[in-house]
Amino acid sequence: MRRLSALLGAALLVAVSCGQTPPSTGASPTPAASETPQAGGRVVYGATGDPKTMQPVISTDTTSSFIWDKIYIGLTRANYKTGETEPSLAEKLELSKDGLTLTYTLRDNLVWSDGTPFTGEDYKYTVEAVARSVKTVRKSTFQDIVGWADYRDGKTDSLAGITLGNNGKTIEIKFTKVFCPATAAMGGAGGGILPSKHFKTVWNNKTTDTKTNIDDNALNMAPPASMGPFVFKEFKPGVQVTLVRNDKYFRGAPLIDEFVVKNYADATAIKNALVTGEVTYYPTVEAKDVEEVSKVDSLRGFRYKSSSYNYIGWNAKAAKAPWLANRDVRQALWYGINVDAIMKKIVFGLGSQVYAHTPPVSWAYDPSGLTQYNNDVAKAKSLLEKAGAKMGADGIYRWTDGQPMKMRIETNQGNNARETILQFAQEQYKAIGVQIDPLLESFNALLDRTDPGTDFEGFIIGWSLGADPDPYSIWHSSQQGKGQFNNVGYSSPAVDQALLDNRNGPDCSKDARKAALKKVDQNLNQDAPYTFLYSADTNFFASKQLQGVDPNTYSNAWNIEKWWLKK
Amino acid sequence: MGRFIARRLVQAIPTLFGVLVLTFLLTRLSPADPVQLMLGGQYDITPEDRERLRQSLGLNDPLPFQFVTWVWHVIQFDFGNSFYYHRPVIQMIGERIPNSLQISISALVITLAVGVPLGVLAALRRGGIVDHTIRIFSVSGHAIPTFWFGLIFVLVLGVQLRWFPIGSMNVVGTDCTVCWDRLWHLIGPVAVISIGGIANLPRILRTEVLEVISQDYVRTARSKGLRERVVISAHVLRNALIPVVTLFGGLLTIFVGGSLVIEQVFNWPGLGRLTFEAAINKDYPVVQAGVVFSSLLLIVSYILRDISYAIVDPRIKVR
Repeated sequence: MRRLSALLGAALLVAVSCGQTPPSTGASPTPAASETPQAGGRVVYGATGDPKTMQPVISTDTTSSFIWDKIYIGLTRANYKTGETEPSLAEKLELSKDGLTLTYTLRDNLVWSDGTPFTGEDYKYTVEAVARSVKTVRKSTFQDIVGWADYRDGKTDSLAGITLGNNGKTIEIKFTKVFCPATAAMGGAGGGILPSKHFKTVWNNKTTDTKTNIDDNALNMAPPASMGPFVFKEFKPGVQVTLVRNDKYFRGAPLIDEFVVKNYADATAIKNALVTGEVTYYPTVEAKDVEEVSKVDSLRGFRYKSSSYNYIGWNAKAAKAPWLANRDVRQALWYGINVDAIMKKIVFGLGSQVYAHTPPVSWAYDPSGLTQYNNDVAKAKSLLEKAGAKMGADGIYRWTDGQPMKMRIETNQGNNARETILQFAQEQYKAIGVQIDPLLESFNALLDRTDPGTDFEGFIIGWSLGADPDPYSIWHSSQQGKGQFNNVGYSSPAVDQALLDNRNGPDCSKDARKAALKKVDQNLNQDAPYTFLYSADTNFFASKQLQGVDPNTYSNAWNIEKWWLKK
Repeated sequence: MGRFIARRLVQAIPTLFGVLVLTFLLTRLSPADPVQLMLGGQYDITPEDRERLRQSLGLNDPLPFQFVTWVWHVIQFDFGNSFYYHRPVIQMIGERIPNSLQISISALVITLAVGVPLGVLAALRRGGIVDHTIRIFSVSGHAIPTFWFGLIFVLVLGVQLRWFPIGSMNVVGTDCTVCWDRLWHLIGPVAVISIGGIANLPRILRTEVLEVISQDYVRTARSKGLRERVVISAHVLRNALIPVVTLFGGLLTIFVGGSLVIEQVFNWPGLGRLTFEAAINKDYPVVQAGVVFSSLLLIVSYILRDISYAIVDPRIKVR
C-alpha cells in the first residue's frame, strides 16, 4: 500500500535498492558461509502502538500490516529488490493477450497451519469480503472485476468474475476492462488471503444479512490459522503481540521459534530499545541517529534505497501566487534551491536526488534526458525575468501584475527533515528575490489545507510509493477534486495519455509501461509542478546475533524463515 | 455518614454532566478529521471509500444527535467501539486501569512514606542544615517538570548505565505481576512520579507542624510529661495532617495527569498512555471514555478526601 510518507516520519528513512551498504559500521551484512544456522530463539521487533486489526481487509496502518503479513499472504508478492511481481502461493500467473483474463495456478499441497488445505475458495472469499465490507478502503482495487457491483450490492451471492477450476487449484479472474496494475494488485487479494473455513463462522459470504460481518468480529484480533511464516499466539493490549513459527509454512518452517512485536511509545523509544538489546532489529533508524547506533558494538547496519521521495509542491491554481502557473517560475524555484546541501544536512548524504516522479529504485526508472537543475541563482533570476517578473527596490521581484513575489510554504510540525527544508527554502529563495512566509502545522492540518483548491501556495511533503508504478491518481488532470491527490493543479494532455497507457494498455508489457512512464517523467521534469528533492536511504539495524537477514527496498523480511539467532 | 456520601454522589452528577459535555465538544470541535488520520495519505483510496468509512463511524450525524446517543450509551457504561482498534472501549479501559493503579498507588505510598517524615523533620530542625537541604530539594523538585526527570532516568539509568529497564512492565518472555521483574520495572515510573508529591508535601507539612507545635495543648502535653515522640505523633501530627488531606485530593490530580506523561515516557500500558495515543489519533470513543474515567476517579478521590477530614479531625461534623 502506498501512502504519504509523512506518516510516522517514515519519509526520511525509506528504502532504495543497490544491495546492502553497511552504514559506517563496516560490518559484514551476511554471516560467514561456514556457520551452521541454529534453530530456536526469539526475535523482538519494536512497533509504535498496538495493531489496529490483524485482518487485512480492514487494515489501514503499518503496525497492523506488519503483523498480518506474517500470517496471511498473497498469491504473488513483490520481489524484495526489484519490486516486480513474483509467485508466492501461486506458482504461475498468466494474463491473457487481451489483458482481460488473469489466471493463477496454485502450488501443490498448500495447507493452513491448522492442516486445512488452501484453495482458490479462500482467495475468492477474501475478495468477496472486501466487496461486502463497510470499513475496507480497498474496494477500488477490485472494481473492474466482472460482476463486482452486483455482488457488492447483494444482487448475486457469488462474485461472477472469479471462477475456480481443478478443485480450486486454478483461479481465473475476468475484468471488464484492461487494468495493467491488476497483476500486482490482485495477487494479494488487497492484502493477504483469509482462511475462509474459520471466517465463514463470523461472516457468511452468501448472505447480505448484516448481523454478521467481516468488519467487527473476534477473529480480526485473533487470526485462527496461518499461511505465512508465523502463527498468532497472543495479543496483550498495550504490551505486545506474540507469534510462533508455522511448521507448515510452504517455504519451510522458520528457524526462529517466536516473533514478538512489542509496543513502544515512539521511534526514540524503539531506538533506545535497539541500543540496549531489548529489540532485535529496527528497519527504519532515522538518519540523525545512524552515527550513534553505528557505534554500538552489538549491532550491524544495512542501508538500501527507498521508493519514497520528498518534494516541494507548487499549486498552479494558487489565488495569492498567480506566478506558480508559469513554468519558467517553477523551474526558477527548482534552480533556486540547493538540494545537495539539503541532503547533506538532513540525511547526511544517505540518499539520492530525484528529478521526476519514478523513484530511482523502480524498474520503470529511466533518468536519461532529465534535467538535473543544479543550484544556479543567476539562472533562476533570468528565468523569473523571462517570465515577466521585475526586480523591486527591496530585492524582491514584482510579478507582472505589480504584486511582490511573496508566498507561503507550509509543512508539518515535528518532522525535522521537512522543517529543515523549509528553513533552507526561506533563505535560498530570498537570494533569488522570492520571499517565503513559512507555516508549520499539524500533519492533519497540512493534508486538509493542501486539499485541491486555491488557498495554498507551496508545501513540503513526501510520497512513499508501492512496487507497481501507477501514478495516475497523482498526476492525471481529472484527479483534482476534493480528497484527490493532484493538488498542484497539474494538467498536461501528454501526461494524461501516458498515464492511461500505463494503466489500461492494452499492452501491459513491462517495456510498454516503462515507455509510458518515461513520458510522464520527462514532462514532469520539464513542467516542474514539484521541486523534486531527494529519496532518503533506509537504515536497517539488527543485533549481530541475528543471521541470514537480507533486507531491501520492497521487503526487509522476505526470507524470514531463514533468519536465525547465533547463540 | 451514609447520607453524606449519598449526597456527595448526587452532587457529583452535574459535575459529571459538565465533564461529558466538555469532553464531547472538545473532541468534536478540534479541526482534525479522524478518517483522514486513520487513512494517513494513502492516495489510492477513493473519496467514495473514505465517505463510506465516515458514514460507518456515525460521523455524518448531526452533533446534538451524536451527543445524546453517546450519553445514553455512557449511562449504560457502553462507550462503543474504538475507531482505530475496532474493539469495545470499555474492554480497552478495563485492561489499562489496573496497570495505572499499580503506579499511582505505589507512588502515593512512597510519597506519604517519604514526604511526611521529611516535613516533620524539617519543622523540628527548623533553620538547621536538614531543613535547608529539604527546602532545596522541595523547590527544585517542584520547579523541574516530572517528564524531564523521566527522560533523564531513561537516558542515564536505562540506556547509558543499563541499571534499569528503559520502560514497559516486564522483560519480553516474562509475564508476572507480583515478582521482582515487575518491581524492577516499577522503580523508574514510581520514583519519578513520586518526586512531584515528595517535593510538595514537606513544605506544607513543615508550616503546619510549626504552627501546631506552638499551640497551648502541645505545651500542656509536654508539661504532662509525655514523651516527645507521643507529643509529635498523637498531638502535633494529627492536627497538622488536615491540610495534608486537602493536598491528598490534589496529589491524585497530579498522579492522574502526571501518569499520562510518565506512562508515555516509560512505555507503561496504562490509562494515561491509552488516552494520550487516542487523542493523537482522534479516536473519539477512547478519548471520551478515558476522560470520563479519569474524572470519575477524581470525583471519587474528592469524596474520599471529605470522608478523611472527618476521620482526622472529629470536630469537622458531617452535615
